[in-house]
Formats: sequence, C-alpha cells, structure tokens
Amino acid sequence: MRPFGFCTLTAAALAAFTGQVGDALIFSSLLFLFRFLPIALAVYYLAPANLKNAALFLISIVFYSWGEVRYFPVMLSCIVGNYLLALCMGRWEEKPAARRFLLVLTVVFNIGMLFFFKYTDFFLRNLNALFGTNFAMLNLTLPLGISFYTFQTMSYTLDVYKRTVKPERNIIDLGAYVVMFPQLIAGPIVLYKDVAAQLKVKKGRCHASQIDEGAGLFVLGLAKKVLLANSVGALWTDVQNLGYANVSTPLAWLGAIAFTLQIYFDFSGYSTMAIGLGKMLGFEFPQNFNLPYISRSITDFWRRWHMTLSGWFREYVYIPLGGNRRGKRRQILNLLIVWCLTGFWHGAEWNFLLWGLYYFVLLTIEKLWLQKPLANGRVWPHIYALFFIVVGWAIFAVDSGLTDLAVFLGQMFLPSGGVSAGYFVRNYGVSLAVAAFCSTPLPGRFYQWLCRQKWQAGRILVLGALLLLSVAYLVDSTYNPFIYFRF
Amino acid sequence: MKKQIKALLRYPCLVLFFGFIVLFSLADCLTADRDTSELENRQLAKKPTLTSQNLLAQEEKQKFSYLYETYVNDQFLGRDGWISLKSRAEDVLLKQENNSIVYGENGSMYQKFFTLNEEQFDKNTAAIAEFMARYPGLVTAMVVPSADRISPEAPNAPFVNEAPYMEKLDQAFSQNGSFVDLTDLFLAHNDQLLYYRTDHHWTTEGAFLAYQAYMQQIGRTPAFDPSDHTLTKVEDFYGTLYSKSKLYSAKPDTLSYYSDLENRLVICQGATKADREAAAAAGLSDLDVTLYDLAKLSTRDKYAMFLYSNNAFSQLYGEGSGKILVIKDSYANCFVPFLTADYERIDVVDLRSLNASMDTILAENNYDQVLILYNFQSYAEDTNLVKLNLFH
Repeated sequence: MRPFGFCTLTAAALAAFTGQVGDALIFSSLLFLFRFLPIALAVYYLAPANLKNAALFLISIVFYSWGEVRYFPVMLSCIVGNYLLALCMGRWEEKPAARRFLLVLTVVFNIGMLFFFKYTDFFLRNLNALFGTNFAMLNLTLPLGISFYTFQTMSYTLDVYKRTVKPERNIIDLGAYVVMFPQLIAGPIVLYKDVAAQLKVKKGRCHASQIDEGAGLFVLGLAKKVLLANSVGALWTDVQNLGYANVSTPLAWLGAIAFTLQIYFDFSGYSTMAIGLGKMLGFEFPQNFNLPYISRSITDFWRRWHMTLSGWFREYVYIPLGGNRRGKRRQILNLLIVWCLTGFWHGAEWNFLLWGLYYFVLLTIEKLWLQKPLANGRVWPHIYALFFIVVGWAIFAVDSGLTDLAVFLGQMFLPSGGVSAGYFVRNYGVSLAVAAFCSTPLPGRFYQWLCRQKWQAGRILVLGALLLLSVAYLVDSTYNPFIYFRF
Repeated sequence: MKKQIKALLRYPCLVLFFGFIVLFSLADCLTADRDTSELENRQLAKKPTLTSQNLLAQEEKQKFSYLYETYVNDQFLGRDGWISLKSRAEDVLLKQENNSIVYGENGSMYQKFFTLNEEQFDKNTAAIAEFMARYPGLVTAMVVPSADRISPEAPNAPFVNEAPYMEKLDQAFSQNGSFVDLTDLFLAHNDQLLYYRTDHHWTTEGAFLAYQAYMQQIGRTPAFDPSDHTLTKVEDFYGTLYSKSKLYSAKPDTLSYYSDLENRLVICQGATKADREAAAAAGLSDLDVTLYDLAKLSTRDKYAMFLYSNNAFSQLYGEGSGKILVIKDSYANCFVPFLTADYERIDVVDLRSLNASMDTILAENNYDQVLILYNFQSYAEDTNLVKLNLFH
C-alpha cells in the first residue's frame, strides 16, 4: 500500500531534515574552548555598545549552525513567527477576540513545530501498530534544542498576551534572546522577562566581577560534565551493551545508580556552564538545579531538579488550568496533565510518558497522605526519596521500548543472576563515590568559602586543576555524549 | 588604560582563565601539525578545507564540522602530554580500563570483549562450513582463544566465555573439514608468555604451539625445530593495546622472531592468474622480498614486521614439499614462517583486502591443505569471511 499523507514534493523538502543527528558544538569540547569561545567573546566584548545584541545574535547563529546548517531555517521561522504574533497582539490591544485568536495561533504554531519534528513518527508508529495502517515514517532529525527554544519563544508570546512583557519591536534583540548561545540548546529555560532588561543595557553591560564569577562557574560546570558525568556514565553504557536481560540484580542497581549520577552531572554541568557563560556575556540566568539528591521527598526533588522546566509548566500550564484553586479533584487532574506533558516533553517514547505518570502518582500520594510523616522523619525521607528517584531514572534510561523496560525492572526487583557487579564496582567504585559526594552540599560550600577568601589562591588552584584535568579528559575522550541534546 | 588593567588585576582568576584560553588557542593554531602520532600508532587528521560539499554533507563523518573538530582534537597542542595526564588521573580513580582496553597483572592488557555478536559469528561459521563442503577433507580451521581466556594475568572481568562457541565451531566444521581448539593446549602452557601483554597478537611462542597442534591435526610431523634456528629478541615493543589505552605506566614487551629465516616472499598484484596478468599489463609489479620487514622493528608497530603485515595475496617459498593455502587474519603473520620448513610454497590470503574468487584460486593452485586461521575476536567480528563463497 502506498503511504498516503505526504506527496513526493513534501517528502523531498523533508529529506533535508532527515539523516543522522547533527554533531553539535557542545561546551565540553576542545573546539568550543579553544576556537569558538575566545573568538566569540572577543567579538562580543569589542563590539560597539549599540551592536552588542547584533554581535550576540551573529555568534549564536554560528554556534547553532555549526553542526548542521539545515536547522537554521526552523529556528529563524520560530523567531520571526513569534515576533510577528507578539507585535500583532500589541497592535490589537483593544480587541480581546483577536488577541485570543492570536493566542491560539501562538500555541498551535510553537507546539505544532515541536510536535511535527519530535512526535510525528511516534504517533505514526503507534497508529500503524494499533490499526495495522502503513504510514511511512518521516525519520526527521530533531532540530537541535527545539524542545527548549520553542518553549522559550512561546513563553515570550504568552507573556505578551498576559501583558507581563511588552512586545519587542527590535527583531535583533528578540533574536538575540532566543538564540543566545549559552542557553540555546539545553537550557536553562530562560524567560524573556528574565533577560529583557539586560538586553536593553547598551553601555557597561559586562562587569569584571560578573565575568570572573562566570568563568569560575563555567569551569565548575565543565568539570561536572567531563570529570564526573562521563566517568560514571560509561557504566550505564556497559549495562546496555551487556543487554538488560544479562545483568545480575546488583549490576542492574549499580547501572541505575550510575545513570542517576550521570544524568545529574551531565545536565546540571551543562546548566552551570550555561549560567557561567551567561554571566560572562552580562546576563543572569535562573538557577536550574539545587542539589536534587538531598531531597526529603519527591515534591522536594521536583523543586530542585530542572527548576526552569517545572517553573515553565507551572506558569504556562498548571496555573492557567486553575492550579489548586478549583478543588482537590481538579488539582489532581491538573497535575496529571502537567506530568503527562512533562514526561512526553523528554522524548517521544512510551517510557517517558510512563516516567511522567510515575511522578504524578508519587506526587499525588505525597500530597494526599505523606506530607506530614515526611516532614517529621529525619533519615527515612532521604532514603525514600532516593529510592524512588533511582527507580525513576531506570524507567527514564531504558528508552528502547516497554519490553526492554520490563526486562530491566525485572532484573532490578526479582533477584536474578547474570553478569556480576564485581568488575564494575572495581572499575567505577571510586568515580561513583566521588560523584555521590559531589551531590551533597559540601563541595559547593567549600567553593563558596574559597570565593570569600581575600586571597584568591585557593580558588585559582582548584579551578586551574579542574580546568587542566577537564582538558586532559577532552583530549583523550573516549566517551562524551550529552544526554539532554535529544530533547 | 592603566587604571583598567589595575582593576582587572583585582580578578586574578579572570585574567588567568582568559590568558590560558587565548594564549593556548593561539599557540595551538600556530604550531605545526603532525602527520602521525607515534604514541597512538595512527595517522592524525589533517586540516580540512571548506567546500560546499562538506558543508552540506548529510553523513556525519563527511561534514566539515566533524572533520574540523577531529582535526582540532588530533592536532591539539601537547596532545601526548594531556593523554598522559588523563591516564594518571584515571589511575588515581583506580580505573581498570581505558578506551576499551582492560588492565591485568604485570602490565598486561586485554580487549574489553564483553559481548559477542551472535549473528555475525553464526554467519561466519556458516560461510566456512559452506566453503568446506565444496572441498571436503581439504580445509582445517583454527580459531585462537583470546588472551583473557588463557593468561593467568587476566583480570576477573566479564569477558565472553568462548568455550561454548569453540564447541559450536567444532560441530560445524567436523563434517567436511576439521577444527583445532587450542584452548586446552594453551591453558596447559600458560606459564609461558603466549600473548603479548601490550599487543593484541599472540607471541611467536604461542604461534609455535599452535603450529605443532596443526601439524598433528593434519597428520604431518612438524619439521621446524627451534633448536636449529636463532631466536632474536627485540626490546621496547609497545603494541596496539598500549596505543589504544595509552597507559602512562605501561611496560614494553619483547618481540621475538627466528632471524635466520630468509625465505622469499612475493606480495602479488592480484590473486588469480587473470588478475596478475592484468596487473602486469598495467605495469604493476609484485613485491619480491624476504619474509621479515626489518624496517618495522624501529617503529612502534613492530608486529607489522611479519610478512610485511596484511596483504591480499602473497606467496612464501619454503624448503619442504607440497602447497598450502592459509586464509587468515594478522595472527597468522608470525605463524606462517614455521610452515616454511614443511612446505614448498605457502600462499597467504587476507580476505579483508582480497577481491577475487576463492574457487579460482583453489582451482589454479592445487593445494594439499587449506588452513583458516583467525583469533577468536576478529573471527567473531569479521565481515569478510563471506568472500569465501563469493564469485564462484
């Protein structure tokens, strides 16, 4: 049967977006550190005051297009579309019906773009499985960072609708916000209102103290990513290579714990680098992680993990749906919607949806029954939270279908033999212990203490050592993936 | 200006960070590129030129961005020093492996061979069985167990258990040919160094044991007597496993070879008569040498001295009688010299670079024996064994 829906012409146009996942210019690479960064910062710092945003726009475009020039039109249409929508909203200030129409258009435009690139194949595949139809897959390459920047541009237009920000007339300024390279492809999800004021500062945008602070954060983030995440992350890849069915119960748990640590340092490392780079450019980005693994409950965990994403869903989904103001039943329904979306945002696979539902269930149980006992406990709430967090990451990590997930959870919870954990404990034990230690508040406190010292020698020594080691690991990098790029 | 510099000096961290990044970038750009890395035993990437083709390429490895990033990484200033720094840091973290090389005792190294591609293994086994069925009684296969199965220095790690696969091979090959499982023999002699510690090949000692076993299998008395020959040792051999792991504290191996052998080796242009005639007509000539490439002894990859490394088709002349064809991977390179005592001519085929019909080769040469010799890991991963049955 001939697949219907897309004629040859569209197929040809789409072919431009298929193929392999583009090799992005990631912060943790020699290319970024020793080619892009010095040139980009020189261009930015030397640009005249009124051209700063144009310079930022330009270097960010180069950054974005580096791995794959084909993504650029998608991003550009996203900027232009939202720019025009917001302008129209501003113009039709007095016409609520027209504004509402624009609002619908905004949501359809942004979500439509995200949906088209990210979810079409998932739905086609499931339709085919369900009804025996034969739709051809589009096999689109996910444009880099589309999950992040569609959320950002949408938040801008929604804020214009809510009248919390004024429509931006200068498309370069708006463009500079959207493509600003530090936060472009993996967050934190910076809202327009977070940086709007700073974008208008022409003279004296950057201060030495802020740049200094930013450089320090950048190095810390780099070390988190390169020294911690990569070092423990290879263990999860080992588990995958051995096959989920072949690992013994202890090794399954070890793998899940390694993934738990990897994803934290991978993602928070990237966010820390982004925040640091933002400071170097004169911007303050919101915090994205606040020691999530010291949480005392799942509710607490989600206040500390990927804070800008939870914040986004709260502000643009949960509260508009009525939040907790319309009674408990409605609140639980709202939570269900938010968590299905959160799960699905992470990827077009059933396990991500399941992962969202898993957190919905846990959060609902906590809200209804566990709030008090958790607040009164001392040690057990930590163990309780960590247990469910690790299991949650196992659900998240096995993204090759629910059968595989069932197999892996089976290995975790039904004591079974298989490849023993011994070798992996020896190989990764110290790295895991170091990573676990770095999930506690202690290293952060130590760094803060170093920063407060009048004499900066300690801070310089620590940062210098971390930078040199990170570079060494990048030179001989055998394993340097980046998990959140897929989203 | 002075004031600004003074103000900047209040932020030593900032100055040092930017100083390092900028100066290092400049120095990195200005230093000359290297062609090869002695440490890693490989060619380094060269600076790519931007073309519309590589800018718009779809395939990851053809993209300009990929080529340029590989170039920056490969030519990074002080690359070897950085690699050594990482290796030391990994040591502090008690890492047992790097870059898929697992460390054992006494500086021994092993491929991280934890999983086996069953499909490829079965495909290869079926290919050989099919080949044997066309030449019943002529072919013997010998698949050398991995060092991690044999060496008492190997670490306790989940390496693939090769025994059931050896069993499978024995069953598949026993009908029309024969199979030599060296595992027990090697285990009985594992007090000797049968494999190099830093290289993925077996030693000349290991190959000699296998040679005796093979001769016994085909019912001939091995004519090569080590006491009649001079064994020469070459120190400072850092092999392929070292080049991958780049362990800073690695200890070199000693490579040994029977240096008095000076048999004639012809590396042919073409494996069949027709191919050779066509090559000759095109002005290509065979390489007529002796079996050791002594120049390789002064390079990193010393094992490449045997048989001038891997060539599609070569002919080695011996002092014995009869003709044998060896279809092989690089393990055979230090094994084949022993056969010079038993055969008049030893033809050596490497399927990875062969582009001719095996049936034609066999028809033209009337061999007394055919030996298929691989090590277990390359056998399990090889994708060229299907060529045994192509173009007939």
